[in-house]
Amino acid sequence: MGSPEDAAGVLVIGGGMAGAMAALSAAKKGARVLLARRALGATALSSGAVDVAPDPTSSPSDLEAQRVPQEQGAAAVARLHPAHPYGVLRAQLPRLGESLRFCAAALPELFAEPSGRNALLPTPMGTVKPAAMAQRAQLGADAAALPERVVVVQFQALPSCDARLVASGLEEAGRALGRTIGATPFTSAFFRTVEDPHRPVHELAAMLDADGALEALAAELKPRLPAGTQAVLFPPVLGRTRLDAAARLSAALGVPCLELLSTAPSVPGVRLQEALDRALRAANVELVEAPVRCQDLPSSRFEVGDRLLSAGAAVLASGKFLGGGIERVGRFRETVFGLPVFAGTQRAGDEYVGDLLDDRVESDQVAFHAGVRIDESLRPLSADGGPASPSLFAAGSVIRGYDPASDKTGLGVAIFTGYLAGEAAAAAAAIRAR
Amino acid sequence: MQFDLIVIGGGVNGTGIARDAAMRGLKTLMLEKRDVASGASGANSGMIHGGIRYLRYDRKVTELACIDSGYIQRIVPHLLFRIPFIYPLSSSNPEHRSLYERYVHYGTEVVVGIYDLYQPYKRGLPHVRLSPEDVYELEPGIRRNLFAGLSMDEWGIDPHRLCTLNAQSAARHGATVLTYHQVHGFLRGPGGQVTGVQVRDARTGARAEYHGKLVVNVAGAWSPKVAAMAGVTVRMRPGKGVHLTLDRRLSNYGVISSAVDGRQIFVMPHEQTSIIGTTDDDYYGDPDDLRVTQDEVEYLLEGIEHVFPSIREARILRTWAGLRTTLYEYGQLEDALSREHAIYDHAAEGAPGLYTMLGGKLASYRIQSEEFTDVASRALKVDQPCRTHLEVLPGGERFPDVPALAESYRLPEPMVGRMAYRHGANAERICELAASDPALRAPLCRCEQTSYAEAVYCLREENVRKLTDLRRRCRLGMGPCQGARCAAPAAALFARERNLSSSEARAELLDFVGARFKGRRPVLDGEQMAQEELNRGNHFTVGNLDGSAPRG
Repeated sequence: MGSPEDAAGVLVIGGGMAGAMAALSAAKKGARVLLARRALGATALSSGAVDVAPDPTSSPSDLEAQRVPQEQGAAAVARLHPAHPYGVLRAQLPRLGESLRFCAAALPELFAEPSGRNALLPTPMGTVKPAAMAQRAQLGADAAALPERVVVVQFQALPSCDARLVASGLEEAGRALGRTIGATPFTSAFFRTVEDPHRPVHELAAMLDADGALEALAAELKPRLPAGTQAVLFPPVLGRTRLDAAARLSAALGVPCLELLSTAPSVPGVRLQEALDRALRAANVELVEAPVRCQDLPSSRFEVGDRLLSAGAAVLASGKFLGGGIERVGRFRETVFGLPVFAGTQRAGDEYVGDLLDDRVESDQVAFHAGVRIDESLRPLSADGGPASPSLFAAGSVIRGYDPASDKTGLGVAIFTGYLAGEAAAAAAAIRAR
Repeated sequence: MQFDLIVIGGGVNGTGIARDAAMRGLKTLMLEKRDVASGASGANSGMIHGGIRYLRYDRKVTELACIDSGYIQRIVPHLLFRIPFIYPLSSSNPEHRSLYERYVHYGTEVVVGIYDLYQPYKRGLPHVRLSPEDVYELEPGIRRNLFAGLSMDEWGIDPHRLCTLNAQSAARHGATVLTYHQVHGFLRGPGGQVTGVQVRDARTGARAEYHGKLVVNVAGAWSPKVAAMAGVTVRMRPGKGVHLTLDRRLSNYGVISSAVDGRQIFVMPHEQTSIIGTTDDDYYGDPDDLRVTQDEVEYLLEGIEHVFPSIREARILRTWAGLRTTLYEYGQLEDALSREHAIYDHAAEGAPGLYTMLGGKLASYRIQSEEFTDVASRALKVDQPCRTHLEVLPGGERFPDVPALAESYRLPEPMVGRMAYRHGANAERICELAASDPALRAPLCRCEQTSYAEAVYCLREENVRKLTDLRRRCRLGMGPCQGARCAAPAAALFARERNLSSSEARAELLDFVGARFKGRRPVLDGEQMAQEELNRGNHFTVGNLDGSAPRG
């Protein structure tokens, strides 16, 4: 192979929320950034809203307590769980709000400036979920702020989003918050062909992107909406690529049109991912779809697909099992650098996976804590306990120490660590360049 | 309430006896503490095989199983599927086999040849001797060290549905079928006569007493516990059998292998998956706390790797275990224990009116049930012949024309095909449901091609008390995604049909998701780690199920 191409000041590995934040924050600090990713990962499968931290000190069923300011929740997580990324990065935790505002500012078409308190957003499972930021149509459905008379739309071609269950859950959440929400299920036959019930959600959403589709939907609903309806809550299919679908529908119906959070496969998740991609392009980040290999840490030479290039610094934001940053085929492995993987306090290897999993599915599961260990400067640690390289940083769920399904800090950690890692990588690259 | 016969246990024997007794006009009550087929009747290999293995010790067991298996085929034809097996006759040097290898090969062919005598009972084909090239062509994944291969014909079945249909038929003939009702004591009369049972409704906690002239304990691995409540002893030697489920049909045929200890194990295609089975180890623990260990998984994988090397790359979805209800014997290896069944009359032990039936095979459940119902009929002086081999189970009347149904109802043919497999003639009723409500046309479980209409049919017709029961009716959540996509929509549907509140629906959902997880825990690896992350993401990151609901 020839001499490495001098392509990047900062190489970011992984293009989900953590990688995108790292790339954007490095670019903001003036670095030349190349972002390489294999494929879409967990961010595109996410609900489309950002969970930062609930209040870990109060009961999850105490909804009022879950409306805690995110900084306060994250600080409590850091206190209770020192191995959690918030705990490891305790000293920088005061910058959490700054990182969230940075994210919101990078995605102005999607997110409003975070309000500071968790919203309680309705899900298709009849639950509400605390989130710090959400897409505008999602945020409007905050159970603490929702108007009293809500209609929940069910598309008959999409029975998986069950309006009856959602309505019952919203009323229950209202009661838990000491307020009255009257939610009425409402069936729409807008998608009416025999094929429509077999379509994945992305196709239904794309059908609503077609010219005139939203107006036709509004025309179907408007004459039948109960009098006094103050908001209409829809399944999360309001627009596949059009980000103004909910706003336009609201204008046509004359009441706010809101969206449920989505499980995977998730249209709002893909919207979020695509908004990140647009922000990356706007910031002149070079986007490459290719796997990254690096044989000889701590050098700065990488194979990106079939390109050989050098970088002043790198950010590992390759995700966990879904993203492909960590895998377990008989044993745990970090897939790019072969960094040691930790689960719980132990270095994870080929131990029996059942020993890392509690019997109860909803428990905090140690096997899903698996990831690389970082120091206070976000540098992954090698087997000897020191940083694997002075110019390698980690961000997002490739970092060990938390099970995002259990502690609900997933995208918050991605934003916070991505933001900090990007800055640190830009600084390291700048020092190297001098 | 006064019954002629109270049946304790909703496995294949319990539902089989309830059906037979009800058909003979006995006023029958069947009690099951969970759902039908929750124990060994739902955790077996899913075959009504004749038991070629038992030819060596129990020729009678093989004969009975083959004969009854033939009857089962006739009463529930839609639920059966042929699984041809291959016995690979391997050798370290196929050109020059050792004397021992010749002995094993010869012996295997003799046994398979004897088994041919019984095959006509169950519409099985006689064995064929295959050249190595034939075997490699039929089954490309097999290790290339064969001297020859032998074919053997067997039949697969959905055991959950077999029990469901027996219970449904029993109810149609007038039996009272109560699932989620646990017996916690016996009512006694003069002379210790067992006159009934005390029952607790596991869902509501409500207690009741039912009177019966006779009580039969067919609680499988729980039989000793049930008998103990009446002060009598039932001895069994439960053998734990572990299976693994793969995400797809890995092999074209069933392939027999021998494990490290020489025991026969197999990998076989079953419905949309492949199944590896099975272990057989004495079990001394609590039948309610049956767990699969790392050792058992490794034992099976090592054994299959022996003939099917690529097994190590396969995606294992989950594990499951059941307890064989083998009769007690001292001094025998687990494998050599008889699979015979036995009926005990506890009169001599001071509990007249109480019987226990133990042991036996899935493939001979019907004749075992007939045998006991004969005993009960004699005791009750009822003179009605058994008709369970003559009258079909619900849906067995005819097999629908799948392409025509798919065409006329404009439903995908694979979806109608699975529907017809599970429900036989009743698939037409399910299509009618789909036609009546467009929302019911949608797929609920994409992995198993279960439609909303099918789930609604099961909810309305098949005695579904809890969401987890749907898994045993229409394979909900049994495919590769393990419920990541279908569990929550199914909970919503269940809540809608049963008019449950959102918190009740969440409790059902968490229960379903939790039950599925227990089987995945011992084998989580490879791509299933990513699938699990997604599953957790849906239910806990987004669905916040752990955050909102106290466990129901």
